[in-house]
Amino acid sequence: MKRRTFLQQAGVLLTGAAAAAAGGESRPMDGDNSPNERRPTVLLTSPDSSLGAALAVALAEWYEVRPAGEPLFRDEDGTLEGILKGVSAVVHVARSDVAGTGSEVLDRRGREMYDLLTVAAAEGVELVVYLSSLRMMTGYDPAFQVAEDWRPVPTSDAGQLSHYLAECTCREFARERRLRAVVLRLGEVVRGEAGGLGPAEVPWVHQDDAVQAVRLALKAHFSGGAELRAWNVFHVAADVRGGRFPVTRAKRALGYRPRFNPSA
Amino acid sequence: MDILLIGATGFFGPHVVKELAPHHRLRITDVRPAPPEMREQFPDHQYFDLDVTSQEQVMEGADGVDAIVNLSVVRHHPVLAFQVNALGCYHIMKAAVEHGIRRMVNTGPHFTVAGPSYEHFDFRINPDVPPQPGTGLYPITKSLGHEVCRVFTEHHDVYVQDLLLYSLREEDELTAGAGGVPFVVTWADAAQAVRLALEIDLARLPSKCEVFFIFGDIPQQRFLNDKAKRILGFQPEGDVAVLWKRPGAAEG
Repeated sequence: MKRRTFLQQAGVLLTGAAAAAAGGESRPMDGDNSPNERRPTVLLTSPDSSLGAALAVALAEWYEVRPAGEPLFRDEDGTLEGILKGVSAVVHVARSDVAGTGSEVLDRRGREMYDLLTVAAAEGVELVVYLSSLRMMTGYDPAFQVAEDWRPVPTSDAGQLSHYLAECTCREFARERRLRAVVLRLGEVVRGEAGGLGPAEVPWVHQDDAVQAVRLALKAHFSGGAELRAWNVFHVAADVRGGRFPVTRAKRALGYRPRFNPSA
Repeated sequence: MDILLIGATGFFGPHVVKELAPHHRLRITDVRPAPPEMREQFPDHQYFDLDVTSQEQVMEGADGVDAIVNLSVVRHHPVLAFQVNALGCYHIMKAAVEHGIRRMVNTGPHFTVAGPSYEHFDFRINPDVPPQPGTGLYPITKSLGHEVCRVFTEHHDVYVQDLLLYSLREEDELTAGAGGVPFVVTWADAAQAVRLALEIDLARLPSKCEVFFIFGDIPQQRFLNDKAKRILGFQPEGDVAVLWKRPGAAEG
């Protein structure tokens, strides 16, 4: 689907800076920019986290990356509106090391997601890529292969619950076609050498492969979005033959090819 | 039964207190002190201030009760709506699990589950549809609270009944031809539903998390209230259908 077609269907009318940043008609991205073309601006949250920092470097090759420290709450001064002005896509990292009680984690992650999406939609942002967690899918019997169309089964742990509630919020914005949402449910993000990464009960993904998935999600959107709907969920982990969480959908729709996989 | 009422001095709370007071021992709480007339009318119950956004206060207030009724709500404030409607449910469910309280009655508007994507399109909408609250602050925060409750019931020995209401009226406000949103119930009938949810044998509930639409008998068939009747024994007495009767036909 051409981006303009998607936006027409979505009822999103780009104006002003957002339209300029988006660059008009669909065009291939990720290596095919002419020097004169204006590159889309991508807002990146948690840029000081390990994953955020890696994303900032990787995405800067193709996009104008605008890092934004958290928390990103609306205020009376319009700070969030200013941060999102001219932004075409948001990559929301929702760092895993949020400090505080369960109550504080839920409050921050839940409210931040709603505020971010509300302002993003109003400012004409086309796409949000939310980096969620595969942990909310680990409640199923390990004998099953669990895909993206299985119902999330988070525990009452605030970490899992907060990711789940953030996904619910994303889904409603996508359902109303206020913007496109891509949820990447990441395994536990690890770093290190491929040879040292064995099979694990909880799925994992190497940070470089998580970055790859984000880059591919942005590329899929900015190159026309034919493989994307308004609401998209992808499991992003190492590619394990017969594993609990196949990455088939991400491979097919995004071209995801994890480089770091279990050695055994 | 010892019951903690949270948000009990708002619009709906006094009607619930009136319905429950003769039958149960109540802890009547809110962020604001209960009005003197309530204390005078129902002197044999406990009163104290409780802020549902505080985990500590909810935990302390719930100690020793058999059930919790959550009547708290904030509709428009961008911070408090989330902290009361969604986070408040988390605090209540944590307290229920901690104290071994098995029964929680939650409340909210019908668009907690049936938002514009249903209401603007469909008929005979029942409370068991997958939630589609939409993106409004009030609906989505209530819906997130409902999801929090549901997740807790799936992992802990606690039952939640979510009573969804929208337009509440006094009997004498039911004027022929006045119309309105087809989700109307009288305050007294709504309070009856809370009592029924508190008194139903938990074994009779189809699951540990059940949603009920609470409204009187209205003619549009936009929504259905038959589940509340069938399971809770809800018997609305207020003639809300009169709101859609033609002038002159109401007396007939």
